[in-house]
Amino acid sequence: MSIQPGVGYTFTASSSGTNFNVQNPWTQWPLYVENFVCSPFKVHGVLKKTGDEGDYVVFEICPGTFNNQMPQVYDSVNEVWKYLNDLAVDTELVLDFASTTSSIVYLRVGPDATTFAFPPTSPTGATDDPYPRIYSTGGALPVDSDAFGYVAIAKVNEISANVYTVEQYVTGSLWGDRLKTGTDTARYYYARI
Amino acid sequence: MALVIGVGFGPSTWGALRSVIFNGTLAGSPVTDSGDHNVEYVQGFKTTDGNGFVRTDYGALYGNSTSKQYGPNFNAYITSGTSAKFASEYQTSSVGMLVNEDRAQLTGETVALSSGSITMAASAFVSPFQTFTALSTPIINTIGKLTAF
Repeated sequence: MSIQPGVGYTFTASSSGTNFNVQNPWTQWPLYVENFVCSPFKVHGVLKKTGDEGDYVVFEICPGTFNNQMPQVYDSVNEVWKYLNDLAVDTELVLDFASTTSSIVYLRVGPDATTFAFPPTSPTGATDDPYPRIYSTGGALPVDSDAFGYVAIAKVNEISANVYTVEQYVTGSLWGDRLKTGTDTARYYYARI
Repeated sequence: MALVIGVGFGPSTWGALRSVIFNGTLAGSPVTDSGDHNVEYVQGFKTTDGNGFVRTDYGALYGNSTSKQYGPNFNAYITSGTSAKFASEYQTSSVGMLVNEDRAQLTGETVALSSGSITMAASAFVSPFQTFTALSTPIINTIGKLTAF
């Protein structure tokens, strides 16, 4: 075996032997957490885990607001909807990766049935809660309806076994308006802050 | 004045600068269910394939009144006998609630009324408005490609 000089290091030979000289001392590789910047709704930390019922994929998402309301996301461990800025350390957010190699993380928002505010100012915890919620789907983004508008936040792709990339669509908090004309399905307009 | 979209003192989205054109010849409020960042129009004009939204600073989502005369509108009414007026009325602005581009595009369009029709003139946008003859209280059915709903 022989080692040749390369970038940042050389060898010198003398009667005493061979010297290995490093001109550019090694520096610590930057850790992921040191360079990570959490922007609103940023999806990150995608990881495959193994549980009692098989493999599942978890993710993390940075807090962001919709019309100044903090959305909620489902904590699968504690089985409760939690605000994005109030997630416990043991929280697990599970991606819908059933039979697919990609999963869309999206925001679902609807109007309050009583005050008609878009969105309501507080969550109810019900299945059809119009309060802003983060979901994921292994299929297509749901189609807008009178009850809910949907915004794709990011798309997670499994490019090889246990290797994931994130296509981030929304990179800031959002404003949104809902307009409905006659019997037509409501239309939703969004603006990034 | 310049507007900044998505900040606290400006319109929240481009949607806040849109509105349907209200139909002044129909009874009742053109907006029923409305709240913060949400408005539902129950009457007005829309296109068959689109939504009929027009650019305006007088939309309900931009903090304006939902009364017909305080948003983009068309109205037709008898003033005396068979004398009638066709008007895009306004209350808060001497230039009306429709932008010049839309006014220019709408001028010349056929207005189908409950009885007969007229051709919209530029005078419909400026007081004392366009005059025509009507034998009964008119209701506006269509304006060019815009259909009442």
